[in-house]
Amino acid sequence: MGIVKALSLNYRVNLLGLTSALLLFYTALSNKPWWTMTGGLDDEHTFSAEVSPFNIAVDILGKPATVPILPYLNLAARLSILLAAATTLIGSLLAGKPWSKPMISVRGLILPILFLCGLFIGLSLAESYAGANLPLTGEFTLKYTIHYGELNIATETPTVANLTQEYWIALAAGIISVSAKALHGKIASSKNNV
Amino acid sequence: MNKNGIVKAVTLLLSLVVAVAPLIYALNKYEWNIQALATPSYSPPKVDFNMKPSSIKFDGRQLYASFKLSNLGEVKIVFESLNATAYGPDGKTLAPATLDKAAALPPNSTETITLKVNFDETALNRLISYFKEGRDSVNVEVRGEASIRVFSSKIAAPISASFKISLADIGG
Repeated sequence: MGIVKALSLNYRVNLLGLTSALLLFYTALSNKPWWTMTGGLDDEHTFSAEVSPFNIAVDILGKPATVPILPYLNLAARLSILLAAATTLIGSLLAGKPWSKPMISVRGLILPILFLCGLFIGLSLAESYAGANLPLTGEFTLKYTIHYGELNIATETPTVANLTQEYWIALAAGIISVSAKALHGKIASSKNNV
Repeated sequence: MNKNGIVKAVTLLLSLVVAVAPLIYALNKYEWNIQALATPSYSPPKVDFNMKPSSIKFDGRQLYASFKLSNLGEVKIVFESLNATAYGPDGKTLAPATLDKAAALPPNSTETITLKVNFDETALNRLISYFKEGRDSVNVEVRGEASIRVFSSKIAAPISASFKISLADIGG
């Protein structure tokens, strides 16, 4: 129980919850991508995709590709995480109150997992549509054939795909929030025993 | 309901509202037309170029055929190389053709590119034989694959260009 006492400043504040709330606020307010894919060399990009649950920007041959619903889905994800961060922050500051446990949200972990699943499904769909191999991360040459009338035009584009530091921060925030939830339960039971 | 239950219900309700409200707003804005809301939109830039024969020069056994290449599209095009063959008017192979040097064409610009056709003894004799058949000029067609770079993507595209050679061009 010593560690629980230390991590809760004598059963008053959930420090793990505070940490996860701050990381969730940073994650939700940051516009940096969680995953990027860039085709081309140096400043000349054939295409680029910068994706996070809060912002999606896709450019092909210097022109943007958009889906009208995406900004609204991004807004819903951003508001959900901001709410999760806010409730976790309040719940962590009121760790001594028995009703504060439902305020510690684990949505911070669900989002990075769903993001990865969505990315995997999206890339699989793009693969079947384009007939090209699109790995989640790494450097590769994207080979794609454009059928133009009776002609076949073969294209080769050096491509780099990466999960960014922002993704790992979001995942860390999520893992910490789950630990915070567990800690909150321990704080409540310890307080009852005291 | 105890305090715990109230907090649980309120956070759940708030979560639902923040997740659903933007989508309801979007649907309302698009008059509940889900198809319009989910349809991707993209207008690709125009990629178009035009090639016109410009001049012909024989140097020894090498034929230099110049073309005016106009980039009518919206993106920069770099012609890097050419792997092609020149054919005579009867469709018979004459000689291999290559690009003399790479050419970069920004949008709305025109550059001269030169195709180099290397004639050997046999090919040259075949070319001369067309004139011996009584022709004033011979139509030579170059067909093959051009290596083009667009936004640093390498593109291998089939290409075809033709030009006329007169006897004066080969110093006859």
